[in-house]
Amino acid sequence: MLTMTKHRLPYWPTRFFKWYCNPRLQEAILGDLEEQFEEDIQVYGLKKAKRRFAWTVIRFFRKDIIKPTEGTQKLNYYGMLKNYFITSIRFIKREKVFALMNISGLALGIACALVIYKILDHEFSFDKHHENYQQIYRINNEDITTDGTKLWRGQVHPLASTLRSEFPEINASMIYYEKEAMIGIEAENGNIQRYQEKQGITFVEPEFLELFTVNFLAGDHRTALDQPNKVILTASKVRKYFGLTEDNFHNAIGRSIILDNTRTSYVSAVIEDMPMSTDFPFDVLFNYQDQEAVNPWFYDGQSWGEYNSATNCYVLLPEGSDPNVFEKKLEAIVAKYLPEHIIEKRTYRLQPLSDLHYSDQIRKTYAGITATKGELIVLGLVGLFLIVTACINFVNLSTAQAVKRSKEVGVRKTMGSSKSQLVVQFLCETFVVTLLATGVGFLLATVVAGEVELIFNDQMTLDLFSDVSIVYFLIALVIGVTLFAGLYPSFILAGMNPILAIKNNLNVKQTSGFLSFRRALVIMQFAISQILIIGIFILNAQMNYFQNKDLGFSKESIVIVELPEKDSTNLQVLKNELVSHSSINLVSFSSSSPMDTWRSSNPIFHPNIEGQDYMGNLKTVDPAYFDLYEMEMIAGEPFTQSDPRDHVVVNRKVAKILGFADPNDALGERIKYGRGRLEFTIVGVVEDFHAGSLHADLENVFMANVPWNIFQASIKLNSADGSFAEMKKSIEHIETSWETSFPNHVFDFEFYDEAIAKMYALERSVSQVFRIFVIIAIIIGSLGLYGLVSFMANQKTKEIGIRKVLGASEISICNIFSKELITLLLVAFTISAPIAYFLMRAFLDTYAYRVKLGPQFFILAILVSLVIAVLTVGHKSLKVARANPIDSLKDE
Amino acid sequence: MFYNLNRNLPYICFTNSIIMGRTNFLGEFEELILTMVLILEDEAYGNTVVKAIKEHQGREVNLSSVHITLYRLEEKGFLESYMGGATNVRGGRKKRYFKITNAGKVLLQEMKDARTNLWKLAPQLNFSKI
Repeated sequence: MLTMTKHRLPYWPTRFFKWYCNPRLQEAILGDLEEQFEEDIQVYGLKKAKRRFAWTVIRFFRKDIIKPTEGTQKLNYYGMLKNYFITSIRFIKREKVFALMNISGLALGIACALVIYKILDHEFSFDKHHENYQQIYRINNEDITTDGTKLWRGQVHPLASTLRSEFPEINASMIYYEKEAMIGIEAENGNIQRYQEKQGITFVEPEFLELFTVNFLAGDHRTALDQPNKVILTASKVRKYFGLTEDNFHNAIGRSIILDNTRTSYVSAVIEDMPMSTDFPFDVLFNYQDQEAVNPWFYDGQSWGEYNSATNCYVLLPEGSDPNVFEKKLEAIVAKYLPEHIIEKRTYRLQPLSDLHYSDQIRKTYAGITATKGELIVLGLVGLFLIVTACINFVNLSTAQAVKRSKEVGVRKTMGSSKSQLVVQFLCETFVVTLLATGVGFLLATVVAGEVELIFNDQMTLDLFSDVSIVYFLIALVIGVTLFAGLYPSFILAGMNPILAIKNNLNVKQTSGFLSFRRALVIMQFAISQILIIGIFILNAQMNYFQNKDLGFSKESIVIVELPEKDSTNLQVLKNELVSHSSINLVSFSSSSPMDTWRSSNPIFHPNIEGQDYMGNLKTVDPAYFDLYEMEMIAGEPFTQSDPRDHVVVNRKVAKILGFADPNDALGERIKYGRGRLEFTIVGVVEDFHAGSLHADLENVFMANVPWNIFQASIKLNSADGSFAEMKKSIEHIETSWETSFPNHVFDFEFYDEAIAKMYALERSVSQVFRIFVIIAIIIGSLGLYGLVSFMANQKTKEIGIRKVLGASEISICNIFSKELITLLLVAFTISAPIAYFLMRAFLDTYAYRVKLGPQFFILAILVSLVIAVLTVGHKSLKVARANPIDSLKDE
Repeated sequence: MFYNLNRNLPYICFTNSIIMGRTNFLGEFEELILTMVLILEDEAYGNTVVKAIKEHQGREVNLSSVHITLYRLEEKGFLESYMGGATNVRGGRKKRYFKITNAGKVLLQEMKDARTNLWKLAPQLNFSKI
């Protein structure tokens, strides 16, 4: 023992120990520790001894050993904190109106923030469940045209298989999304139960299952689609078609499914339903080859010239490979396989799956419309705005109470409270209020979320309890709101001069400083709600514009039904049957209605437009079409049933691009359509009409009585006796005639004006959701305003008393407040108007046809905010103006 | 009669005396430490207690638990302490020696008696050797 060399104690643990240890105990413990350390070195070696030393030091970190931090102050700390909470609750109980306003304002803001958070969460979760999320790309076409480059998604059928054989290192799959198809299920007794599926019917290559993540409940994923006539169903479809439950899904395997009465496939697997947040909302997955049954342009899938926006190509690149390199390689494919006239203009572009849902260039996916990052940011900003206005509100209301609480602050300070303690106290109060508001806000949010889900037709689930991330969001929200809303009032309150506070001499001098700050806040609040009000007015105007714009044709009392079979005698029978009813005037068979999402778009050729790329939209129509849709003929005559089939009626725009200012000159011109042998003679010109939604420009429309592409019947009802019962009878008549003609199909119909309205469903939903948020913003804003006015009233109690004594009328006293208010409103307006102008102009620019951004919206907005302001303030200022001056003056 | 619920092992302590008006029962570990201090007489401080426990009970205890218990027992009045006996091994630091107080001795005795009395009530079992 005597020869032992001394070791130094490990530095950091020792230092830590000395830092926390009670000095009274330190010497003995440290001695014991060192003694043990030396012995440990003998027994275990230096390294382990050090570790044991550190561990023991950590173990010593206990209540009995740690030194009390700041003497007596520390001992009081928890007690004071408890006291703060108690006083907060007492304060809330005492000032019920004030607390109610504070809590409800914050709760509204928090509810909106929660709902917006959930919407954003939903939007940003799209497609993320695929394991290969980072490596999947869609191949888009970038074409150079006369109007600049154009990006689009339709692909030729053989692309994926060619890519697979040319580049063995990658994987690729085609997807064809049919959207609507009829599924027949044969019952045991031989009857066929038919379902018209409006979404989820898709045709994919077997490689699809290797690219995308699909969870199998029954069946083998390797063989599920390896040959034609195999089909995969989701769990919900299996339930619907076969009435099976989860434990006997495997019974569905091998059952037959009849597609459009023509092709029988056998169920090979059952998969989980796709999540809500997918751009691939597939329910029934057929083998790619089976689309023959529904897609007349499939041609064995070998054509390199047939495009369709529902036919897309996805590739899976190996991990870590550079998409740009692969994009370069694709140039070889263009050169090798595509027709000559395209090679020059075409570049294949890779679009990552992670960009698919947020693209602003290709705005459609199988699931609907994309949500661009910009739009989502705007939504996030609205949420932030709402929270900020709610916080501003809180600041306003709390500082308005400052005068009332000044005595409390004075007493606390006199008793020895430090400024920081007072700040903590008021922050505690804010925290309690925020916590209560969050609770209420959460309840409100469930209501708002339900409303939003309803507006979006349940295409979005906003289950607030679905995952834990909402808890983190709530915690962040509570802390953020507490600090943002609480800090300023806390410092104001805590900074009061105790002598003045107790003497109740807190007058203009001490408080005017923060009045100007509060004015700035109110201006900001006003500005935010004015921007939102202007926004909602313009959005509404645009919606009305969609509804009421003259489209160039009539859309009233027209019923559209599908024609599943094209047999011409059968169609004639149906037509005769339909017009036999008294209330049906006109029936027309066509490929599509005048304004339709379906289009057949091909290049047109004429000597006058040599070398320019113009596309023509060809509609198959019969002679009755023009009368039925009340189109205005400006030159020539519509063709008749006996005319040659190459007669075509075009719109004015076609005549114009051909260089004929007078449409009559265009008559008789021969024009080539597509790259085949189609050639038309113009026999008539109609006034321009909108062939696509008002998002887009006018198109070059060709209407000819060609024998293909007859998909639907338009039926004009006699609107003279348009009572509901009459209407119902006509529809019933249509249904029976239709069912006699097509006994193996499911009848469905649509009113044309409703179909048109559906094209703007997204805008409508967005404007409805937006309206909810605007209303909430206005409510919050009014609460804040009320706070400001009460503050002013408290401040000016004496002034008003004196004025009244000297003979001021109630109205003149109300004017004191309104003058201030109108100034604030106008200042806010000068800020909000330009911002709103630029924002809304950018928004309207996304529509080819839009309302004029006139001054009326701005005038309306300021009027509305004025009315709201006067209503909010009127009550309070009248109350002050009517108060007996004695009460306010004897306050001393 | 008190049930000490703070320990993992349910342990029943018996004592009649109320000492210093505070706690009048001991946990299992506290009793162990108290006994060790009794045994070690004048040589009782942190390290020797740890060693004694290892020696007599074969139990590895952390120095920190021993210290904390010692202070707690001192606070309860069963032990008293004094400083002294600095050695080189300890970097010249003094030791805090602990000595059992009369109250501590009485308490230990009472606990022992109480247990013996209780055992007397138990049916006389014969444990045959295996």
